[in-house]
Amino acid sequence: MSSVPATPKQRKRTPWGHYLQNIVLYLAVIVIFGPIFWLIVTSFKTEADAYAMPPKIFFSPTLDEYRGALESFWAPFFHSVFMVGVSTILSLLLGVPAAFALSYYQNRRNEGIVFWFITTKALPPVAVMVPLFVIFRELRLLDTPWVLIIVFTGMNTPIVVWMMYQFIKDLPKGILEAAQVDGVSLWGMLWRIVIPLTRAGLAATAMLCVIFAWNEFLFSVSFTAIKWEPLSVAVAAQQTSRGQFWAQLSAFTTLAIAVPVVVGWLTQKQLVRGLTSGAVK
Amino acid sequence: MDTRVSEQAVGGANRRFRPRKAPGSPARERRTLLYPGLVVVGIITQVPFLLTIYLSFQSWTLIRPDLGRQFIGFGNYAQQIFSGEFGVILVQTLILSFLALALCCLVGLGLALLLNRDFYGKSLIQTLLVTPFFIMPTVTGLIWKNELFNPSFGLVTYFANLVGVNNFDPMAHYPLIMIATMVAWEWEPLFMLVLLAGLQAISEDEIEAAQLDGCNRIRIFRYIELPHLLPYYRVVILLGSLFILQIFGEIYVSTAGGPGNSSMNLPYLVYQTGLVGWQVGAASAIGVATLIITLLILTLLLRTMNAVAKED
Repeated sequence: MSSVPATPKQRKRTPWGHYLQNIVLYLAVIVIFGPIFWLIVTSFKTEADAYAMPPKIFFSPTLDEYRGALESFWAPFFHSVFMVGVSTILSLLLGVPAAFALSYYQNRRNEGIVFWFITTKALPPVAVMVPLFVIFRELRLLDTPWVLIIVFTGMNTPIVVWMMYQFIKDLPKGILEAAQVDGVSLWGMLWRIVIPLTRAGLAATAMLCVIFAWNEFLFSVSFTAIKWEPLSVAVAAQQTSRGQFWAQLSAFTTLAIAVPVVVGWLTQKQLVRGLTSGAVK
Repeated sequence: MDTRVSEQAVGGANRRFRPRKAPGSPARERRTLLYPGLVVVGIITQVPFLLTIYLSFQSWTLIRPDLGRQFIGFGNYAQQIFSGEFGVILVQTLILSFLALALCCLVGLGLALLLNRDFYGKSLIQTLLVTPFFIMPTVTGLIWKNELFNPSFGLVTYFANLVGVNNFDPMAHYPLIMIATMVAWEWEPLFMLVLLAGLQAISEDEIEAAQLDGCNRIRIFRYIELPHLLPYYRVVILLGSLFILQIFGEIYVSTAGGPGNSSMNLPYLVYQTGLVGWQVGAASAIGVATLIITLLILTLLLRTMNAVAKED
């Protein structure tokens, strides 16, 4: 993944092209990151400033709106942390051993099983939503944390299997064979060799699960109400109840996206490797 | 089946001759590791799907328990799928997904080419460009609806008024296009990152050789970079279309499918029928239809891309 440096010759020949390309990139940053930047800027405004026309670029920043936003923020935030956290741990516990089994043991069905895991992602969520709703309603599980934990686990385990399968396959073969010859137990191999060696990939996989679960909306809005709504649903609800208070809404939204954005920034490189490495070869 | 039997036989033999503490046979170890994940994913995804098929043949409205649940064969399909509404919404889903995918492919390629150089502040710029990928769909809808395109106070509205456009309200007039731009904004980073990885995998020697032979930038792109990128495009288009066909949160927050049904897609129709109208049977039928259509589109995409790859 190391960047390919432009040869000095090339740069000397086209200095203007180089700067022109930089300018186009800066414009792209303004268009693409601008909306997020504006959201964050608005969250530090007073309500009056948020509605000012022409839009105010210079204003005296205030944290007042965050105070109001935080009141209704903590409950859905903890719901999200709990449900996303538990489901991610479960996905890893189920997915990593499965990925190890599929990449380490010889079996002609392995490729097919990995492919099956991926095809479950081709199943549209709406094709399973209605019966899940009916089942959870019968079991009186609606609006409890367990519904979304179950759904997120089912949703993310295939991603864990897919990504970890790639990462474990990329390990040098000799290491695992040597360990086996030395009589290292199965769990020892998984715990002391596979997991430490795929640390970065494992972290990226976990983070991807966190991002997907944190941002999930269809199941969240269908299966939870006030008692256990996660942040993605709370944002939509806030829009209805506080749609007129832009500054406060922006503060709430900024808080809601903070976790996945920071997590995403930290793991962007590994993420691409895991998603594409096996598929491109 | 033969190998399985022999593996079991070997496992049994091993167990007999080894001391008790020794680990089980490889086949058994593999099963212990693999089956929990396999079974859980199977139960959570496949069982509800079979139930969806079953429910799609039933007439069942949750808010009318007095009507009960009856088997009506293909009644739901006849009513829902062959109604004019379904056709219109299917076409809207296709337009929305195609627009968003096309935008992603173009913008992603452009940005990847621009980023595949050495310049000051590269990693910061790349990080900023990737950010939309991590934003919640509901937040995207909110940003578009409130901060950018609100008809009186939006940021883009202000600039539109500056250049003399009056009655600027694209969310009401072109809801489908606006949702496509939202979706493209969210998914462009994935395309950019994957294509960038593809560009960086091209060996420098190949490009230098082409330069020595007198190839200009455009020819290098056409004859070296583009053919090399095709497998990367294949992965990212398949992955992207999987998610883009399932867009829901953006629509829910920004237009709620309106005005009328004009910005509704199939997932939204299922939600609307099942969890707003409480028609479980009808919603299941549309869900099954959505799955079939999704699989058809994916197969078609895969075939087309394989054909293109062969031609090149």
